[in-house]
Amino acid sequence: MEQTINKYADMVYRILFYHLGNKADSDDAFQDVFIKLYKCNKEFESDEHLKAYLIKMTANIANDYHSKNFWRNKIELQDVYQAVSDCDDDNYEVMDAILHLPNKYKNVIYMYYFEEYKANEIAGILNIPVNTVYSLLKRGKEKLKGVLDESL
Amino acid sequence: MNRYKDTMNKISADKKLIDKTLQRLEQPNKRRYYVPVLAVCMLMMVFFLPINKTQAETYISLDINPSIQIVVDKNDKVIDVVAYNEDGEQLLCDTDYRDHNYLDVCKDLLTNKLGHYTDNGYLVVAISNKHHNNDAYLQSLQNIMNEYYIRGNVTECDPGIIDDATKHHMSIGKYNESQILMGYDDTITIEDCHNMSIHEIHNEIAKHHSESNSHHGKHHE
Repeated sequence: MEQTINKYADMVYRILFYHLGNKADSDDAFQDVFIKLYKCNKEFESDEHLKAYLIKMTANIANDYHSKNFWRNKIELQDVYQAVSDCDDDNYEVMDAILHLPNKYKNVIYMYYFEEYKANEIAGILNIPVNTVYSLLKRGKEKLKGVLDESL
Repeated sequence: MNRYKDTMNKISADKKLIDKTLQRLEQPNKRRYYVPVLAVCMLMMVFFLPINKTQAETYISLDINPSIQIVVDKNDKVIDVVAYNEDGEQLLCDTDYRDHNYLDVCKDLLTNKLGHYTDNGYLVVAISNKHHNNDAYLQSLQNIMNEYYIRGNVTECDPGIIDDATKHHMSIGKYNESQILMGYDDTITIEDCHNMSIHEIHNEIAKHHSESNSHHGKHHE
């Protein structure tokens, strides 16, 4: 378990912060993710299977936190400063745009552009049609276009 | 590397948080050595004390993408909750619903655990009581869905399908929908349906249903 946490800690934390936008909830949810994984006591066919399972579990837990704290939908810049270390103003601007992206785009954008999954892999992991993945990617990219360069 | 990836790379879990999480995970381990002792005691009770065998009376399945089936006894107490896919397993792995009233369990599953699924998906609830007394269960589940604005359908199934559904490792709701789809299209097998989500099965049924209605309309013209 220690090995799993060390290997995937950053990935889990990124997904949580990406959804929740503040350090306090992200820290709490982080612990919940690994405690739940431990309790599940599931056997995985491969590292890739574990990673995909963890991504989905993390996104689900982030959604649960989000529903509980629905009133707290304003992301404060100080929360961004708190969690994002060693950054310049450009990164803060990008992070602010990413955090304000509607939730439905966040998972596919993260999995495609950061974890570099293919669209059909994302569809399989999130259990959504592949056309939905393409559609969410296209619209998510459009929403970020004003801040991010053409390399995205 | 693009700006998105560059920025996201700046977010990481700090060591203090990782250590705190590891400490929390270590706590349950201290109780582990009690388990064999408890198991022996329970085994002795099995042989020396009379046991009331709990019989499954009603099966309630919830399919939205997670596929879950609740098994209820004659006193409306939950005796088991089974997941039929990984999404279902994730939802159930840290909760023990046994001995709770089925209605409390259904409400918790539908409003808490399945909350964000029901926001966007279509829920299929199926009920099968061994003595065909489905009405009270149908009404209760429909009331929950109405109260919480959950989009979906509550249906009853013949108890005859319970064993077949279990054999195919499917919930009664998904098995029932599969049978309906296979009735429309005999090229589809139960294994095909096993690999489809309830949403996909439901859409295929709706497509066939609307095609057969349109044929029927044309025939009358």
